[in-house]
Amino acid sequence: MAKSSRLHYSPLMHWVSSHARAFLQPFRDWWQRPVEMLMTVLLLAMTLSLPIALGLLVQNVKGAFAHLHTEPTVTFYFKPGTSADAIQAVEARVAHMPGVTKSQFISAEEGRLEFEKTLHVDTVLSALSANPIPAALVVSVRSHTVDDSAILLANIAQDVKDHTHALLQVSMDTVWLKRLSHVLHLVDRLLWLFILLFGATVTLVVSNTVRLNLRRHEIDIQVLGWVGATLAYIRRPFLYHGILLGVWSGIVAWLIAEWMLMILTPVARELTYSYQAELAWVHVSSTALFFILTGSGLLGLLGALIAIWRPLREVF
Amino acid sequence: MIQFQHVTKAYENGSIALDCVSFELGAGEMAFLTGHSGAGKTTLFKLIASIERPTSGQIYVDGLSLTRLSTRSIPFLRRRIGLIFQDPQLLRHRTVFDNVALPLVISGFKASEIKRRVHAALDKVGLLDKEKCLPSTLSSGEHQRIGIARAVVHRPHILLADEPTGNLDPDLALDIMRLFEAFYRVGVTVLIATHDLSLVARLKHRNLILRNGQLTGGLLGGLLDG
Repeated sequence: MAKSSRLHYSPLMHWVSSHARAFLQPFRDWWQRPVEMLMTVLLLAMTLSLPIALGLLVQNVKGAFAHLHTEPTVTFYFKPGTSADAIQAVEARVAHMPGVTKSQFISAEEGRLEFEKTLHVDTVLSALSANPIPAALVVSVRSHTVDDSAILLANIAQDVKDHTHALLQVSMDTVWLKRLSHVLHLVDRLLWLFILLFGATVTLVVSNTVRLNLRRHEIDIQVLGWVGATLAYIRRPFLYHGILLGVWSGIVAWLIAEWMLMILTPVARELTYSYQAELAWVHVSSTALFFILTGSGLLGLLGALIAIWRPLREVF
Repeated sequence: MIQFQHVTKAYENGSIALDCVSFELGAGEMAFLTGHSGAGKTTLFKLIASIERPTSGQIYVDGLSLTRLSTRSIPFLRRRIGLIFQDPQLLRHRTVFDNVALPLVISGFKASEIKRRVHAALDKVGLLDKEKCLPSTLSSGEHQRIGIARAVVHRPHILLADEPTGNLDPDLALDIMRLFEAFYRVGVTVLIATHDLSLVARLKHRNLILRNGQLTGGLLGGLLDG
């Protein structure tokens, strides 16, 4: 035992050194074929950059819409002659409901004045014997997503309808919310399809690249098998090849995505401004970069595993 | 050290490479394996190193039953064996030193020990001055000697050599055989497959003769002279 430890590295040292060798092997291969490696990384990076840029943009746009300056509202119109107490009871009820930020009572008289001021039709209304404008209660809500706002409004409207008979009409300001929500859902779905398809593309390209590399190293693999290398030892350089290809591609994809966001952000800002939402300048945060590199590394690993799984089993 | 009990190896295409072969090679014994091309010599070596599995029968190597050996244990069996093939399959982009050092690197030997053992192995095959060369700059005879150095550098219990002198001139072939004898003298079990019957005759060791996948004799090499 003493003699063996004098001749051999400790198991931990051996493990570390064999990993270091395996890690460096792809660099040796790339050094011999730099153009091939560069082209593969660029191809993978371009594939990855589209879902990355689109994903970040969509995430930020959704964040901007969650902080809209105009809050969605539901307006309750009351029957003529409804008592102030009944209206106050409704106001008190909605004040404690989730998401409600404010409620504003507009009396029939205030309503008439507002109507006349806005539409300049004072002569028409004064010609009538009674004020046709009903008293109203405008309730504003706020939530994290556009979808949640629509749900909150619907819940409030239903609750008030269930608890008072003095309502003339309920008007929900949700058409634009629904439209926006549909657009965001569509973009979301598209994004997931991009992630799925482009992720699969990256995995397949890495798999093919590693398979080609495996063919170039057929003799090495055979010899390593003869001299007693374990399957893990033989696999390791190819797995590192896949991981490193993924990580390099992730880094280049990050740079391409930043460039794409420089072009796309102004356009997205115009869209959000039209909804009175404010979109900050979109860029790849350090957390996003961490997830990009981890994700691309894992895709590379998956590609390498697919490439080596069967061929290397035949060594044993 | 090596024991075959009624071993048959049939391939998927129906050809039978070995047909009910039985023999035993004791620890520290040296033997030749002769027979025409396609007689099953290489298959027999591959079975000993578990590169292939037998269709039926039992094989014991260095106390291990190969039919019961798990896939995970195969590399550790191969570390007890030195394998030499007619084509040594050297790594083209690695130096002679790196090629020979391969079994030691895999087994986790320290760098200082690797250097010492590789130099000793290269010295034995007369290529110490070529340690920094790439294989592409060397002759086929030198390739074969590098293959031999790689097979013995980790001091295996068993040495299997398949046509090791096929690429060498007669004088060098004899030197290499003497080298194998030197390993045999220090207790290594040596089995050499060869066509060179004159060499077999000169070195008086047991000769296993394979014919159409069957073992037909286990004579002493010296008897062939008569």
